Amino acid sequence: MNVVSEFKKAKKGNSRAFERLIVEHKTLMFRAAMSVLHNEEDSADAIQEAILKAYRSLHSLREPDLFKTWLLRIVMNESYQIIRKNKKVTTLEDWNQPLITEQGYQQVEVDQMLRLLPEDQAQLLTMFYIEGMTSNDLAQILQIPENTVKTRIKRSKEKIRNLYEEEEATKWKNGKNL
Amino acid sequence: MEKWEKSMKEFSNPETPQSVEDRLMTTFEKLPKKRKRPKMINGLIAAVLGLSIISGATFMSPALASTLKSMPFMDSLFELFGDEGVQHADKEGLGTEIYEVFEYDDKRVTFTNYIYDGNRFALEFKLDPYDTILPEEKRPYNAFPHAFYINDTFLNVPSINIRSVKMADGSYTGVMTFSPSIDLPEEFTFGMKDFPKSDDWFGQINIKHNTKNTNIVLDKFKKYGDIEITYQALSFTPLSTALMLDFKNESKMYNKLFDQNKNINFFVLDDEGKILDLLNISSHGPNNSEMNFDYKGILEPLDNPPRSITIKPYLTRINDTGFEAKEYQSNWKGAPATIATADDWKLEVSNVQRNNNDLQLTLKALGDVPYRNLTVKFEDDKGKDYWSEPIYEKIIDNKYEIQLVFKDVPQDENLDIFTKIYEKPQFIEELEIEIPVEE
Repeated sequence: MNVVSEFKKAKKGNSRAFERLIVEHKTLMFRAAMSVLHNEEDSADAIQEAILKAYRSLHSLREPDLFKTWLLRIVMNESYQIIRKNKKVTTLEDWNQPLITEQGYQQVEVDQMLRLLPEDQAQLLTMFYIEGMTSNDLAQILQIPENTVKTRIKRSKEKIRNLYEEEEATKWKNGKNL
Repeated sequence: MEKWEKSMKEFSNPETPQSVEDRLMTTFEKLPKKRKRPKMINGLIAAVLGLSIISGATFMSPALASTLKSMPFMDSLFELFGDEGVQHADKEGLGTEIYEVFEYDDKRVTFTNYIYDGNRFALEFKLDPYDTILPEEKRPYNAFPHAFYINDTFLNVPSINIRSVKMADGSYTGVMTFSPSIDLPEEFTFGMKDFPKSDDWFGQINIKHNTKNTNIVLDKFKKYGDIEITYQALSFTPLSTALMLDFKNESKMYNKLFDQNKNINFFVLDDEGKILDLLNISSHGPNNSEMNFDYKGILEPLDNPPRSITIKPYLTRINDTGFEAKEYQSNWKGAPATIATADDWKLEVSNVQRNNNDLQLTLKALGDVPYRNLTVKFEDDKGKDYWSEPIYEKIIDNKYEIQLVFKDVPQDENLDIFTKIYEKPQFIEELEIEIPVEE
């Protein structure tokens, strides 16, 4: 797909071109929404609102090259908006969920590992591993310097690596291979 | 690529489900076929966005947040941000001042006071501004690492509650309350780490029991079918009323109830029928192969221990969105009236009192009305909601009564009263007990 050409058509009001742009980016949009909401239905809601908002404000974007990160930033904002509406802020109930069983880490999967990180680090790491996402993209979406993104990703990677190593050690100690 | 990175890749890249594909199509149908180019509205959009960001930064009423931000100092964070138990203990002048600073990553938290009653503890904190991608309301929770310790014991279920406000300098000030399910010693070191089993402590605080308690050993066993409960102990403190029990839930009956989306819970009533507010419930286990779980219910504190306590276990049904409920709406005439009815019950406003803009209602249930499980609010013509604070809530001789006060309700507004009544709890009388309280 020629994003620049479709972008120019869409900006002139060609809704078909806009739809083609969205279809091209739908997977990224879904994955970005999921990194915040962890729920398909809520993510669909966020994507829907983001599409409508993007269509209404497409005129404000000048650089076609920035379309991807601009669109994903809208998706992220809409995802947070849904959290606010649903009051799905971190609640007492969330924190009451046992993170780890008393037997150790055997049951811990990647999503549980991520819950042991501060939420912003977990989210950044989840987005970093989305296919087609670069640290430069993340810097633009999150509107922070790229070096800051890299530093934070490095820090988060170190933490989650430590957690995995702990898990492996515990499995070994318990003689289990899950 | 390391093994964990492969797992991360899989986690971060789910396939787009059909439901999202379908939603794309329906969204495309909503797009106008020819988009009009907006003129001169960018400034307006920016202004609206700016406003929403400012209002999103507070976690309490804008008026209170504004007052707080303008205050040069604060006497007691416990009074401002504590739950009713913390406020109660604060009124009694309890608390131990400390100055402990925890630093980690680029975050800095200062703890300045604590109250600990042997069941739970509350800490006053100030979180310095820090840089994050998260929206305002998530920042206080996000600031704290997820590995909390009592001495060297990792808290599987820390049961944390945080109430805070963003200050003018970008810092957050508030109270965090921990109600872990495990037995807590008289004195312990509370610590935080980056993650479990890390060698590095971000900080540690020595915490000592600083309230006067009345503790009662119950050791009462009740059985219904194959559900077994041992009521272990009660504790009355200025910070909380705590109920400890052992619940054997690896039973066919319980599993059957669980399959029907039913949850077991408990009402705790004093000798005047007042229902104690539940502030927190936590559990841990299983303790052995019989799947026994220890439960700790943290309820509102009482000024004095009552002559007796009644514990009423009940079951409620939960659907995907929460508890089953019905809603009722009627125009508010400002006088006693029936506000909700069903075949075998009705709910009446039996008394109305006005004190300037404060509106106090007494509601009585006639017939087989659900206990406690109701919410009441007023709404004016402009869609503004008015919520209440409960004054008391009682069950006397199986009759339900609640008194509510609504603050700042204009006298001349046209109001509707909304009542949401949840499904009646199914009481399990076989598990119910009344316990005399003797110091």
